Amino acid sequence: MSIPSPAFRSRIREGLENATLQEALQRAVPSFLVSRSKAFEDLPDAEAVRDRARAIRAHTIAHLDRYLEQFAREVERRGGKVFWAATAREACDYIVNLARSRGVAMVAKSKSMVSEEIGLNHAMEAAGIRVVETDLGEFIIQLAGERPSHIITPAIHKRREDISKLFQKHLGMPPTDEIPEMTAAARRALRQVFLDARMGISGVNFGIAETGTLVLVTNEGNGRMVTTLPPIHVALMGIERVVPTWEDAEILLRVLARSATGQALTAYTSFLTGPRRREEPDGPEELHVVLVDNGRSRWLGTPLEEALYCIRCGACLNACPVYRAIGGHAYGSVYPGPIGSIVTPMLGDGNGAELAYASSLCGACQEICPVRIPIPDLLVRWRQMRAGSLLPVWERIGLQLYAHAARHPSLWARAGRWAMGLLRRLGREGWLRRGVGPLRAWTAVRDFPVPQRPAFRDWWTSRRGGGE
Amino acid sequence: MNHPVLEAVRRRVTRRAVPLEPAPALPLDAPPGSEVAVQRLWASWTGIGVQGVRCATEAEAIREVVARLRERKIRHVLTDARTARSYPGLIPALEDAGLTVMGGNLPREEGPRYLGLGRWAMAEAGITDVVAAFADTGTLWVAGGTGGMRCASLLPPVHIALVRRAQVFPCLATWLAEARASGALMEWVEESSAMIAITGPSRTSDIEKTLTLGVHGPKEVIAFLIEEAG
Repeated sequence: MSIPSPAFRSRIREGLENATLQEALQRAVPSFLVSRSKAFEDLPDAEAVRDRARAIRAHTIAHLDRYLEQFAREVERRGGKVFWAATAREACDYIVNLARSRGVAMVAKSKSMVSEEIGLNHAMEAAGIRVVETDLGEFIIQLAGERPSHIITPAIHKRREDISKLFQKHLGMPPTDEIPEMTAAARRALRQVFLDARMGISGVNFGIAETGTLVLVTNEGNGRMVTTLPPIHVALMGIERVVPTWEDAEILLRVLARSATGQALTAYTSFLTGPRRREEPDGPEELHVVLVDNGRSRWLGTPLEEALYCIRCGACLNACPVYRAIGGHAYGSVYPGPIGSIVTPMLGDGNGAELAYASSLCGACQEICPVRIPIPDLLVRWRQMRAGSLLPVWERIGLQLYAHAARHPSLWARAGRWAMGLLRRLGREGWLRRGVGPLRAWTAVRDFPVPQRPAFRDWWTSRRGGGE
Repeated sequence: MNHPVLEAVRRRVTRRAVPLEPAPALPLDAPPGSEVAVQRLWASWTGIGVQGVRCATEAEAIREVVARLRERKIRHVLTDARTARSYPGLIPALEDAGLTVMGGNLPREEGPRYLGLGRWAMAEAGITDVVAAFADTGTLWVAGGTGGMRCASLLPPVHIALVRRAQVFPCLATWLAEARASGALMEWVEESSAMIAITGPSRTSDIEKTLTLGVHGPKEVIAFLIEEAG
């Protein structure tokens, strides 16, 4: 198997050659970075907030069993039902069976990355249950029959003209290029869905352990609709999303929206604790919290554990030069971008380790990450793990010889002279344009300068008057 | 509590001690209800698109509410029992102005619940009180709980919030500290299935990163800041 695989190469090429995508990325991503930067400038003690946020995530993941148990107990104490799903299949089966048992024909869904991860829509629709995405971006993607290309802005790759055509076809909207008119058409179509749906499905940004409270961060109001209007609310939550206290959630909220959308807080931050109480005028009659493992627990206590600190703000996508060049679909994963390249092979069946190569390791992702995840280090760790199992014999022997030479200076000097002599013989007019053997792949896309005379080692020796 | 997922987590967690970083500065450090907090709240409202109206008294605020509803030719208003308790003159004033006031409890049985929601969805404005307002972000902190309706700040295209000066906190962190110390936080959690931080009108930038208001929730948020204590 080559790195990256032909399928991945093909997706990358499609991304690079897709003029619409390129235009959309160039238009949208820089504004994310500008608003994020401004939002952090306005936050007092911003670096200390990030340090604290990181410490909260690190502490929680180190004691995840304690906080998960507390969270589940508190959800149930306040009338919610908790289902522990070891796999994607278990999570989907639970929700499908719940919907069937309650006679649910249509589900209104707000954005949930976990639901994408476990393939929930497919499972529901296979069971004859209609699922309607209600986040505007997700709704567009669903009508187009595509997958999201960004964690926060799923339809970032779509132009208004594409969306207008979709809405004309599916919603009967008159032709228009006006974004407010398109938004109004979606509002009208989805309002009835909110009122008719007998089940609402949401994701969860944080689960507060001390009270079993679900924290949901949204801007459009669809998150509030699906957790308020239908009589049944199902919340899908990755097991790593728990935090100990309300105060901890508050610290994380200070960095989440700023990193995601450049807002101090999103329009709606909901703190939901249990189903509707006896004295409350409205709210869901049932609350089901599905805690999804799907491979997460395998990585606790390993060097990749830090990837579980992620709060899914999407900032690392916007900062990544590779993501900005190839877009989200090229990753072929629900979780694109730098953090997605680490998380994807950690989940489910473990596919996607090759995504670790979709990075220049420039460090912009780590710089922007609100909880300071060392993303480049984790990408290198994946590369090491993958390389260990995939390197051809000749490359493994070559690396061993290299390591041996690097530890022996006189051997290194002799090998260096030999290699420089060889490169000079292969070069033409000062450049090596066609390599031989394994060098061929390298020179296929770049030229290599032929080593100059004298070699640095010889120059240094003569300058110091002999002796090494 | 036992489950294979929890068991797997228990087997692998490190339980290492993580040094707790020092608490960062508050987003805004000012006494609740202070002029500094109020000025900042006003600026935040302007920044996020909330229309602020300052009123000296509760009676003036109610008159202004009715005037704003008339300007918009609104006929149906959704509000809840808690707001009516906090502002006893509100519902009589709305009714005197010829407005239809909707409220009460959504039935729990499916059919009547559906019909009730359909009726509430006809409201053109929702009026709520708040638990607090946060100056640093311009947030209106609303809650469910006894008589506290979640739909009033969500379903209608216009949300009107009534805020007393004493309810203006510098930030969520300050409110949490005070509510934790007084026991109010746990009371809210027990009583209320939802506490919502509303920071401006419903918005989206999902199409070409262009800001559009009122995608699912209210397009207009009007907040009345009342000097008079309740």
